[in-house]
Amino acid sequence: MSKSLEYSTLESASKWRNLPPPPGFSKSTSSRTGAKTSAPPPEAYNAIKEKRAMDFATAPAKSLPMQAFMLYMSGGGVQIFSMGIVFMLLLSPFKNLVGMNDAFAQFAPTTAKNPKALTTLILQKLVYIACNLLTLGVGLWKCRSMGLLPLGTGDWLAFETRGIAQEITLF
Amino acid sequence: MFFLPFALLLCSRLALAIHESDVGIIDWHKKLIGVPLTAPVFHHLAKNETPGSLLLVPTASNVLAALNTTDGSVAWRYVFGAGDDIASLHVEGDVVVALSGKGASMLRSFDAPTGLILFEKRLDAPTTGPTGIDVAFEPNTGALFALNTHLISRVGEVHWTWDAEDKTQPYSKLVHTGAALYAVGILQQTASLHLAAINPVTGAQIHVTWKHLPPSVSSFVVTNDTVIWVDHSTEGLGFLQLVPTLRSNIRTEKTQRWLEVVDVDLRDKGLFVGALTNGEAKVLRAQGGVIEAIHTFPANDGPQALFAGGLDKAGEPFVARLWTTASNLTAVSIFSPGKDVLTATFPLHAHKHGIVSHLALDGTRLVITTSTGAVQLWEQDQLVWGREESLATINRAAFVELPLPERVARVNLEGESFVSRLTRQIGDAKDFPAYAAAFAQRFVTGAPPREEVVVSVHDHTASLGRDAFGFRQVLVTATAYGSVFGLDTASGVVLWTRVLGLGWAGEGVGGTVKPVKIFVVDGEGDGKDVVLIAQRTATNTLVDTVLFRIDPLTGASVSPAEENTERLLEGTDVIAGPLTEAFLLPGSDVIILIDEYFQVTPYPDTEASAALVARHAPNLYLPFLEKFSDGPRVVGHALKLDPNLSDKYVAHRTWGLRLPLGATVKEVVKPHVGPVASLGKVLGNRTTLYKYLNPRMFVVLTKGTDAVDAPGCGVYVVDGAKGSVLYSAVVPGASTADCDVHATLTENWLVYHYYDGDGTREGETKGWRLVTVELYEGGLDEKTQSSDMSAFSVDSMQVEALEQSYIFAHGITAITTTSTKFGISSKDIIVATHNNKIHAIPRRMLNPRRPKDRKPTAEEQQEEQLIPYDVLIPEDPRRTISHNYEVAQTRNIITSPALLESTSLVFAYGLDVFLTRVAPSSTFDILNKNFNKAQLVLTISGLAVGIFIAKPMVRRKRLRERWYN
Repeated sequence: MSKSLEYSTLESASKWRNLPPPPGFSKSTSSRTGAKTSAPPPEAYNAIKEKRAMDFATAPAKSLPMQAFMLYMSGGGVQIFSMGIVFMLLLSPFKNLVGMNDAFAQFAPTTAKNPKALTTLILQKLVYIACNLLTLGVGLWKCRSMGLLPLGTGDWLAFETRGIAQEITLF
Repeated sequence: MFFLPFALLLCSRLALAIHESDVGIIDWHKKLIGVPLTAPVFHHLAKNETPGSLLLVPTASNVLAALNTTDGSVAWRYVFGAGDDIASLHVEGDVVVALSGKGASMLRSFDAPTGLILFEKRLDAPTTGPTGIDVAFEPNTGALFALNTHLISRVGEVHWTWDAEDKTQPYSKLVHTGAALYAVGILQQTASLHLAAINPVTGAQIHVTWKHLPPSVSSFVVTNDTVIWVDHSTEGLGFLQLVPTLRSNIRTEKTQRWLEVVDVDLRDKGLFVGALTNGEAKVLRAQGGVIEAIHTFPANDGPQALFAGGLDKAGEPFVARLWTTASNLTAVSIFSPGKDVLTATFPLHAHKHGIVSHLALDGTRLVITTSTGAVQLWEQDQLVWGREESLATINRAAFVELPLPERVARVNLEGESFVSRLTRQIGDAKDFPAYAAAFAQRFVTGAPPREEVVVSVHDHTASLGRDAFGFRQVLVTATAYGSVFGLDTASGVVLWTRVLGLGWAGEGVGGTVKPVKIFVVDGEGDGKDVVLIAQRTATNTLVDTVLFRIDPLTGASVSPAEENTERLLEGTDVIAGPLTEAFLLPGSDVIILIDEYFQVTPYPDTEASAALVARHAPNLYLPFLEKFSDGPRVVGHALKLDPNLSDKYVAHRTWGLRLPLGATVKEVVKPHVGPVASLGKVLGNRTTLYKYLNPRMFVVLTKGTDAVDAPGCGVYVVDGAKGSVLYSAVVPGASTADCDVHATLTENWLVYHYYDGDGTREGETKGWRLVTVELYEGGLDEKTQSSDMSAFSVDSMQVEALEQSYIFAHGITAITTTSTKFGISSKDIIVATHNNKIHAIPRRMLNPRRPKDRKPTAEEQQEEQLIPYDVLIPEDPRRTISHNYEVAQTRNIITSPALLESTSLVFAYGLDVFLTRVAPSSTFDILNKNFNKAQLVLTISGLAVGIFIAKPMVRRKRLRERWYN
């Protein structure tokens, strides 16, 4: 079970704020302690979230050295291990990009009208896209080194066709 | 993870060599001796450890062979080399003496039971060509006397040579009596009988004389110590007793009218046969200067009488007469002094075996040889065994695929009504239980029906139908003796035999029919027909061209007029004159025949084929050999029709291949045509070399002359449409006039083999070379689309040749490539070597891109399977596909695809015939015989059980997770 920080609880506009406390829950103690700590302003939350979003955006790039090492270790042959890693490298950027808006929704600033819009956190998303393309590039590079990319004429030879020569010589 | 063990299992047995368990299953071999030249000689083995007797025979294939009389198998054989023609054979005791070679001067003596050479000696050769050769044995000493025209040599402990003073006296018979050694010869021009008496110990001449004979005497018989001849003008018998002084007088016998005297090889018994003009024949005995008749064969009721004599194991003489009765049976009567005459008749099928040419006798056992090369042993009227020796003279052969089995082929899907389909399917459904049972059994035991996977040699019972993999085909072979055989490629069994008739050329003796071309065309239904084109030569040297169209399954003629298979095949005369060439038009069943005036005759002679010829004519180019005064030349021809001159298309010359001065064409090698799977060769770095796939290429091999500055042997690759040379090389030969070059061409790949006798400099060796050449359209990624380009395009001359040469350990007699159905499998080179083996050389070894002085890169190894260049092609016994058979004097190898892409059938013929299957890229499309099917089934069922057990457990666990999470 992965535990993720629920940043949304920090928000004043959260719908959870208006829920009645569970039975037997003393609000006074909580409010007392809450009164003591001075609540940070929402701008600060947004700044933290933006920072978090940037961390998230660069995460694929940070894992690249590890992945490169794994690729190196898996060797150049077309085997089940290297194929698995290559497939992961090729697929994960696309999966990440498809789920990008959802993934960044949690970092959306309170001011954002639609946390899932493409325009929210646009800078971070661009960085995220770039990092994922980097991963994809590494995957493709690996494919090429394994000879799986149809780059040479030899890869298209099977699709070439020839007709019948005009002159017929009989032997 | 379960794949891994299976993948390993599948790859574990790469078919590198033929396995011993496959020998005799995938291949067959017929050890042949050739067509007998003379009557075979029965030889009873003197030693007791080898019971039975042998049949010794010299053959037209230049072989001295001994056959076991019990089953007709070859006990031993000695194959004489080229230029060492066997001249005569003599047997005495356990010694077989053969004279051979130029001037018949090579004397070899063999041990009869084993065939081992006892000694070999070169005798003096006569100054002129040998005209009379005979050998006499001296009793007890083991010495022998060899007569060669005018020379007599004694071979033994004491050696001498006697040479006649008068070299013009050709002696032809040698007689050893206790008193002297006599040489007898006849010279018809001077009407004289020459006699010489020689001291057998010292070689001193006792007497030489000659006697006058009537000029009509042309031959004589020597028996015991008497010389006998028939004077054809007076029909009298003359004879002369041999005495050392040679003073005896000629005596005559004129009470009967004699026709001829026949030697029946019973010299020691003094027996011979005299035939009378009234058809009777008398067995005569000459003794002490007197001739007496001891038996009379009555006049027979048919023509052709053959006489033979022989001793049985006890030494009793037998004399037999064989003739063909009026009812077309073969009759033989056997006489032995003091016994009843034994007469037997047996059917000898002239339409299968021709007529009897020689007869040999051992007691009551008969061996006959026929005009088509059959050797048969008859015990009275029972055939004990037979051999078809004309298979040693195959000159045309073709593979024919079998049609689908009847139950598959008969379904006529079009125009089938609903009801009939339903009834058919219900009818087919009755086979389902058997099919299901067979399937279940096959699945459980993992043993497929034998016939499907391995068409076995020993499986003669299956009817003639196509097997699942197409290993079973019919091999139609036509021999130089005018016989045609249908062989089963699975077992080597002769399915049918036909003899080509002589037609009008048969009126008179000595006409021959020689097969020149064989084509396989579509027949009725989905069957194939074989079209055999032969040239009939009559005794008056007139030649005409005959065409036979045969059903390969039965040997029956396709023409309804000739459906009787109990007769000779007569065929249809297509050209009144010799044939120049014949071609099969591509994509059709029309054959065009070109006569000596270059007129084109299409076959079959229908409107449709004439229209097809007319349609193709503007684009047809026909290169073939033409004979000129200075030797044959390769000339290209095109077709044109001039309605003013002839209603037939005429081939006219368009180009001639220009050769260096002094070079003549030795051979034209046709390309192997087959499907081209890949248009180029992909290199390690994913670039492509595009193959030069000009479909008009063929190879011309030339030879030089003896002149000092003559060119060596030439190898030319020529474009057939315009005669331009695409590749050429000059290679040395053993001498400039003796070019032993062999070549084969397929797709863009040329391989040739020659003898390099020039390597006399330091670091060079004499020996055989194998050169591999690949033609490409240009450098990397350059393409000109050569395969569909016009021959007259500018780019058609853009050829880049990659070539490498290797040292090969053997001389070869034939070379070809394998052929597969789709051309995807790599092609091996198949060669027949001088040491009587058939080798396969893998494509990888002959890749001209094998890098020199460096290691191939990882990509090159992976993509092209390149190996570093090595000058020597190692002799790998695993690559010998002929196992330990002796496949002697192979003249040609033909290959045919099976239905399996991986496999190619290889048929080698020469003196022996040999067929096998090869899989150049290993049998990738067939499950290995050792594949562990039980393990697969067990694993799968184990997994199923595992799933069955684990599924409820997992389900329970999931449910619990939902509750307590």
